[in-house]
Amino acid sequence: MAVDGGHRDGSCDWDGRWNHVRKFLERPGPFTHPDFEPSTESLQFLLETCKILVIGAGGLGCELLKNLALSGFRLIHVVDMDTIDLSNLNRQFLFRLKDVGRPKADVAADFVNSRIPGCKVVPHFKKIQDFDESFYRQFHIIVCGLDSIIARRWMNGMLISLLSYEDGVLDPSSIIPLIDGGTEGFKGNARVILPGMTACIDCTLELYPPQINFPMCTISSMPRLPEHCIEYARILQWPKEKPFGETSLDGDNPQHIQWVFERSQERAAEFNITGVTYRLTQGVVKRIIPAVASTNAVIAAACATEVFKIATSAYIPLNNYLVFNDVDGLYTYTFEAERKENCSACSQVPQDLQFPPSAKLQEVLEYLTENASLQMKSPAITTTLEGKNKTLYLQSVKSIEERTRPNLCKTLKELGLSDGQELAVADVTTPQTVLFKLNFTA
Amino acid sequence: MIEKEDPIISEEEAAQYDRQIRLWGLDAQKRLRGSRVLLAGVGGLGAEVAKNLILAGVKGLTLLDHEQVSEDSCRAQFLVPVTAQGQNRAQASLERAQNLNPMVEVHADPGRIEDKPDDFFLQFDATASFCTLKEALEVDWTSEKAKAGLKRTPVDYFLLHVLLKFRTDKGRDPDPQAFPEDSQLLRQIRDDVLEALALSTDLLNDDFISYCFAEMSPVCAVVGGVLGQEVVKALSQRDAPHRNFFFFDGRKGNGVVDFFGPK
Repeated sequence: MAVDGGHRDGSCDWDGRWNHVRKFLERPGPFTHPDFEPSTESLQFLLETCKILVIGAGGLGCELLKNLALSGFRLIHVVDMDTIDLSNLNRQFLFRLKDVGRPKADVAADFVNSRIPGCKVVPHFKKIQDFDESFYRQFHIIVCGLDSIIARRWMNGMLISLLSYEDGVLDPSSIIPLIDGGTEGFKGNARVILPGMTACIDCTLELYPPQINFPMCTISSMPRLPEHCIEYARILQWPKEKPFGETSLDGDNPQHIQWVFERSQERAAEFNITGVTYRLTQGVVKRIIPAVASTNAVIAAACATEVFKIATSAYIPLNNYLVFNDVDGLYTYTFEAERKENCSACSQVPQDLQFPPSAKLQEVLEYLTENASLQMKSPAITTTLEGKNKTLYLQSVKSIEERTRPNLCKTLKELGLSDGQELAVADVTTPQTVLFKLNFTA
Repeated sequence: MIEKEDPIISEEEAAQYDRQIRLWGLDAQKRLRGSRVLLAGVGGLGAEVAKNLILAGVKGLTLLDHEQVSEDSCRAQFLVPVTAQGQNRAQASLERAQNLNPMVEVHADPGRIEDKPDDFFLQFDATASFCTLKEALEVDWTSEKAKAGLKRTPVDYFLLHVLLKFRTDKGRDPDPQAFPEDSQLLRQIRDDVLEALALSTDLLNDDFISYCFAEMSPVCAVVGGVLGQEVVKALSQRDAPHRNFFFFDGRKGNGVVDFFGPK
């Protein structure tokens, strides 16, 4: 891509280049923040100092990079672990057909750096979990365009872990604002989170709709929808019939999808269900979420506006949660999500576990995963017994899982746990372990 | 008019448009695939709408704009290269617009919409323009019903009246280079417009003036996203478009849909 623009005066900023931004920052106005003082310093801050981290270079990420670069932000890092797929091209417009297969972060950064003289986007073809506090601490604002709740919670937990408290008082300079955007088809939301001060991701965990998982009884005996037939083939028939030997079902393998498709059609015929198509089969197996450019444009723009407002302190930020829906007509609503008093992520309130000593460890595990406010995925529980660290149960490493599995059937008393015992729980939903206090009930 | 033969979606198109076909269905995508759209005005907002329509996969998009690329043009309008100052805005936007999706036929027309003969428009299935419908603005505000509705009416509606009158009178938008004279004129027009509608001038206080002189990229993107989707809805005949105005306030992050016009 040919580099854009001339360098008339040696730097890459020609006369009047940032006039549109100056209008917002260099003169008073009726809508500015009450403490706002017009000056030329805000623009200099944006251009030379303000460091933004964009998480995700997909549907939201491409739009975010465009909006931020055009608004004057120049020091931008972008993290994305994915490579480009053909189906991305209907909305991830920094990518072209020739880029399919390449890392999203790299291609996005190249595109923006070539198009916007002076902009320095640094790509990271990595997972967010590959970085630690020293990486995240360098940014003034972090804006997310993620596609998973687990990743959001992890990011949320990371920024909370950076907070420092002196004598119980939060040090404001340790707060890194988190702007989070999410979209699905025609729906989207944008929110502003000031970790430690305003509602965090875990404070409002119950707002997320439950993930669609059909009950097994429906799938195995009473299917009504084509999706039920597809899940039957995927969950029950594939492991039983092993059509391709020991290979597990690969959503990107057309032969695998074809097999599932044919089995689903047979099942659907049995129950007089219509609507099983190859496309639907692929969508169900790969859990594909429909996506379109316009929703991502709207939500990313709302997020970028918030980044601008917070970076310049010139305008009052969104307070604090915007929902958008143009499925039928257009609906948008903004409300203030409230902090949860005993939020397991940000409240610093010790988390309670109330169980009788005769309860089995299995029950504690189920509570951690099924409780609506916790929703852990595969918690690893450790504690200190007789001065030594002991793993009570851990799922993610096969050998340890096998060794600790018998503990699940033991009671808390049998495991040597006492009233008031602290349990440390690690999970993918948070970079830090969560401490729980065991309270024995009668 | 939309081509009568059922356009065939190729395998490549089906793969590229997969995620949106899952949203609005294959039939809707076929109708889009057979539609030609006219986009009048390629400023910051027009560029965003162009992007959204091109990515959606219409058959053809014509960028119509008689304006030249000015210094202001390239700031929130990302299709125009900085080196293109002085060139026609539609023509300068063509290359990058086309690159977004080679499967769409993108054309540039440097003409004025007013000079086009009626049959020019027959070749299109939908028009998106940034000129407004006169009718939508001829609401009688003296009626009791209208006065009652006034409280809920976004102030931006009246701002729109003022900006349109300015454009009609001066033949251009407010120019930052002429800030003092244009501000004065805007204030005057505000007074005239509100008086003619038999409304108090307090409705739109002086502060509005500072907002008439610039486009900001993210705001263009929000409105461009909504507008792009409206065109898709109209072409695919799947959903009713909004009735009939959408106002976006970048300060509060609010959007409002409202209807203006004869009921």
